[in-house]
Amino acid sequence: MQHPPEGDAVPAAVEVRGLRKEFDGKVAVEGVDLTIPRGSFYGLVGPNGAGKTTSLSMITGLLRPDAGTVTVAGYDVWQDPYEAKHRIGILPDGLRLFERLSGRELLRYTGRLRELPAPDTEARAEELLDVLGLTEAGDKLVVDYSTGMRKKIGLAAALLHNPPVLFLDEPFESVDPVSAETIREVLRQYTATGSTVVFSSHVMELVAALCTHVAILAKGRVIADGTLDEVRAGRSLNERFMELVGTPAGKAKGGSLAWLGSSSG
Amino acid sequence: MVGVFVGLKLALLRSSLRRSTARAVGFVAGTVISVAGACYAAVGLALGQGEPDAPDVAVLAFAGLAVAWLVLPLSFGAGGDESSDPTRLAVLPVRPRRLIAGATASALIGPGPLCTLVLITGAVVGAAEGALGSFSAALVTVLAVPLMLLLCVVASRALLASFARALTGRRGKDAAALGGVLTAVGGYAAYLLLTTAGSGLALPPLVVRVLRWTPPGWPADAIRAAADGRTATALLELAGTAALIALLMVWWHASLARLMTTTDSSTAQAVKVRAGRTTGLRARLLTSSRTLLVAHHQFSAFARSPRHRMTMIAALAYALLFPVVMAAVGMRTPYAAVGGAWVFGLTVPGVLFALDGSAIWSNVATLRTVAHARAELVGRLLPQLVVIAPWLTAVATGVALVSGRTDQLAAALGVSFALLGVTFAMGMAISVFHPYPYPEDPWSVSAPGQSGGYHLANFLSSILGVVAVVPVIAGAIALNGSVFLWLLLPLGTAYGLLAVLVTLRTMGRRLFDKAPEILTTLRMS
Repeated sequence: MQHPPEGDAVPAAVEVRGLRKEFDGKVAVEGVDLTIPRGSFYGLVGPNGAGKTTSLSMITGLLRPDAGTVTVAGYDVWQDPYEAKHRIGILPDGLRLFERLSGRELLRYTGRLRELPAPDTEARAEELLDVLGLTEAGDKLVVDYSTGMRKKIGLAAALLHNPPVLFLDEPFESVDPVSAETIREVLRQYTATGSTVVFSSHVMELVAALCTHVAILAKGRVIADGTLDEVRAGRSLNERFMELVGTPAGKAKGGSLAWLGSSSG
Repeated sequence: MVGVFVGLKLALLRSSLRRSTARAVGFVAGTVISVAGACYAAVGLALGQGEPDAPDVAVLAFAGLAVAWLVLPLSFGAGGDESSDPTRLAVLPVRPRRLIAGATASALIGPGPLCTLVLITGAVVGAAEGALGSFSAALVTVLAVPLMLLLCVVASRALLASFARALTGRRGKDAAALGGVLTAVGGYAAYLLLTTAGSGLALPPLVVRVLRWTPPGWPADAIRAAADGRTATALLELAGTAALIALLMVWWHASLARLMTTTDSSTAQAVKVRAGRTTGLRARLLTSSRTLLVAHHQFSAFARSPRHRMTMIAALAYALLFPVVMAAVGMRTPYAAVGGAWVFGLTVPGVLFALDGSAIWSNVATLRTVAHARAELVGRLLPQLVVIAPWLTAVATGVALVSGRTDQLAAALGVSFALLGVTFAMGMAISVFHPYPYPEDPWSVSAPGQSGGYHLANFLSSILGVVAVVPVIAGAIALNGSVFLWLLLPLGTAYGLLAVLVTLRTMGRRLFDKAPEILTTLRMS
């Protein structure tokens, strides 16, 4: 029930066409098209304000687009939310969690909202807590969690119903190296079985190390996308990104800020 | 530094209003209404000039204002005022005196201080009979106004700074929230007693005499002393007030210095909760019914989250106090329980989405059918109903027994339940059409005036709710004294239930359709 019907002709896990969103007359996302192959580890990179979070919110059904269509696992997110929402796992950025639940209770609540059978929820929750190193903290309230623990419990909640497609908004931001490695390992295992991960980040090294596919977003548009090797075109992803997005770092080289560091204070 | 602080405050205010037209309208409307209310009260106070008890009224008014300034910011945050948090300037080299001067200046800007100024002026005019007879008396009278305003503002900020560390910790917030509710409820009782005590001021003279000796009483008493020609006493009282303000500023600064150089409470010990059994009948029920699941979750929120608990305890306390105070002033009838039902209605929008804020994304992400959306609404109202209905019944029964009006009990409950149903319905509509996010952290939010529009809408809708139960009230009047009066219990209950069911149908649909938009609004907290 969690994978597309037999004979499904749609090859992509996620299809995004002409996605657009304005906030008070200011365009945040301006016609984004993406084709995310099934089983891929897809990185969405871009500078701050490029529209990554807005795009991911619209793709996962949390923010209504002004225009455009999103299909996840063959189901239109905005026309057929009943089928689509079932196939989506989300770790959003900048949204609250239920702070007064313990980590374990949060997973149970999520499992019940997802209508999973109770024994399945219980078994999966314990396994996820164990793998993510949260067993000890399982009975602590989320309000007392560190940022890394929050990301991990959020990831556990997103994985609980074993969705075919997982969307993660900045899963590694403010996460310590140990937790980050744990998250990476869980995601590798998840994609190895044919499931799809889409995540946003601005850490190029991480994206280059993890992803099979990349899309670069800037000013609400996709300016490059494809397999990692196609996008970086023989250079490092960081170099390619700077070249495409443009960098003001040149200004600093050109003699501005001459006063900086010369003072003896 | 004063200019910098004032500029910062104005900039924060401007940018928070610029984020949304609705907020700006709400802020302006809220300000206009509260200033108009303050003007109305001030005119009332001023017109008391010449009455024999006018100076006592001024003492009472000053004492009330001082208590309000001390208590309200502690329990509700400093009115969403980021500029009131000078710890943000910890890394800047600012001298203490300039820091306090600047922070005081910025604290004087806003609707709260404006209303206070209006009220103080009214009370002073009321007490100022004969004060213009001599230059010294006039001077005392004029000086009393700014001194009293400064006393309120500085005392409030000093107290807030000294408790800031305790308040920013989770347990501190929990305690402050609860303490704030109890104080607010107590204040409400005092207010009801004062305003309904019949002819003018029925306070024992002893109370006024004691209040006159407390700091807020000094500037008020100075006016009378000056008018009576006791200039030395008057000047002494004003000097005392000024000295107290200076002392409070020293305390304020010491607290700030401590705040800037000590650790916060983020390293505090975490609480552990034991999750109950998850298999068996309860787990199956919670998995099979989203309504029960949401209701169960809501119950645990009341048990653990102080802000959820605070709304509920406040409503329960008001519902109990209203009939008690009404009885104290002569209205001995179970119909007083209706007031409690009205207060519960005001909590509904908070309980529906506002308290959870953007955390409801996980519910939105799993909202797959209209039935799910209705389950969200019913599940969040069910715990309310389970607590409120027995409470109102108990309160009304208690009042009926004590007052000997058991004949009115059934009808009073009928009207109460009808009003409860209608206010629940209104609350659902408000939540779905005009959702409002409570700020995540009321002690450090930077958005003054966010809540004006919401509170206004909520208040107006609750007035509308009273209008909507007019048929039931008319029934109670028509059947008064008749043997069929008890019929109002089933009829009123059915009326309330019908209001909830009809609204639930349309609002469930609307919630399903507009859940992303509601989440977008709640995200702004």
